Amino acid sequence: MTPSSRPNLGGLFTGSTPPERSSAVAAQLGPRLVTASPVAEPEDVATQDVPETEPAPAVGNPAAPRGSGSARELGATVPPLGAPAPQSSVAVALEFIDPLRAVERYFAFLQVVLDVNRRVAIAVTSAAVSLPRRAGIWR
Amino acid sequence: MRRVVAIANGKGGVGKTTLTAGLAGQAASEGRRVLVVDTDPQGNLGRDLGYGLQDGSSLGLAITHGLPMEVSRGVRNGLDVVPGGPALWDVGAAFTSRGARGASLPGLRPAVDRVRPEGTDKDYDLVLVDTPPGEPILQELVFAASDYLIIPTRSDEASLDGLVVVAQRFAAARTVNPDLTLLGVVLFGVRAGSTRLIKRVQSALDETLGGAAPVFGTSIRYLESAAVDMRGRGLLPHELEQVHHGDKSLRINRLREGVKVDTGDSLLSRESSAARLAGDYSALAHEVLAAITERERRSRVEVAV
Repeated sequence: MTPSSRPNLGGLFTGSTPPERSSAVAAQLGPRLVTASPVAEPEDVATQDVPETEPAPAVGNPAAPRGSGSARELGATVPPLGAPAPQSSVAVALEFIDPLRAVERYFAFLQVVLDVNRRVAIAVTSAAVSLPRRAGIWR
Repeated sequence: MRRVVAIANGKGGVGKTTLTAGLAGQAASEGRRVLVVDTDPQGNLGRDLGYGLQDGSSLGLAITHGLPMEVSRGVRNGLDVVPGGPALWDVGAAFTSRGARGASLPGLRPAVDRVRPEGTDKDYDLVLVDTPPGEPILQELVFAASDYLIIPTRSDEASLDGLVVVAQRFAAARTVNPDLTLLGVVLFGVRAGSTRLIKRVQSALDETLGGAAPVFGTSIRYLESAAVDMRGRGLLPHELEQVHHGDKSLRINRLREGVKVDTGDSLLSRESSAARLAGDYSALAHEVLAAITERERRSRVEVAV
């Protein structure tokens, strides 16, 4: 996106600039049917975290999701993000001392360290390689 | 009260469908009642939401003849879908033909307004409408029926061209729907960690939009392996994150039992990547809902003044 080729579209979006052509559908559409109140409750959308009633049970699923993971079932059982998983403290402790899980955690940590190392190494190397050019030694 | 939000860009491949599915799934998972309308003849939303491909004839006939739409209920908890499909190619032809005879068509809004959630007397909180990139009539029909528009874009020049196209259609549609408002632009499909690129493109987009709407602070990262996992299994980002937890337990159990771990159906993405992607969608959904609230608060203040 170079500055020279960048158009200013603000007027089209705010209505201060007329469109280059008229609407293709305007002539065939009747007046817009408005059924909702134009004034919103302040907390109506953004601050509504939990509905007053539970969502309706999933019915009439058109088709089962493909593959082994059933999206519908997952959608039905997945708790909201941030909700604690229903797990007892004993199970958590057992999981923590489970050698296989410890190995898994160790390599996940190692992977993160390697990823960071890779990024840093690439950044440092590319900076070092470009030094002569930046210093004007190479053209 | 429902808000009808169109997701559109004049260019294909900028993440409209994936974004629609991700935002809808995120909002529904947080307890909101959501309806998704797929006006794309390609009907790819079915892959993202895992309900398979359909022909879209019900939606097409609702737009052209005012017939009731078939709604796929409970695609997720709190999430209903009006599927798209190839029958929607006929809508453009119907408009041209009716226009030549001076006849009118019902359009999308009356059809959408008739759809109500089941099992509750409350309305949908959000109606998200996915649009096709190359069908101007369908896109303008959606704009004529929407309250808000969100434009997903990538960081390349071609996506900017798509922004110009959608701006012209937006301005034309406001002659029939003066309430249509640009809610914001989402940067989609950027490489994780490309902070300089993201800042540069966001700044360029801000300049292009001329203050008409914000560029959302949350961008959606592109993760090839997560995209393959999600579309292959019909999973949304937050569901992929959950599946990863199960997949890890499964792998560990297989290790413990001494059987082969990778049976060919294991996930390609990493758990941490899936979690970060789910985090992107969660943050964006909150940002979008906050933007709607802010817009409506400003409208009320203007009306009061």
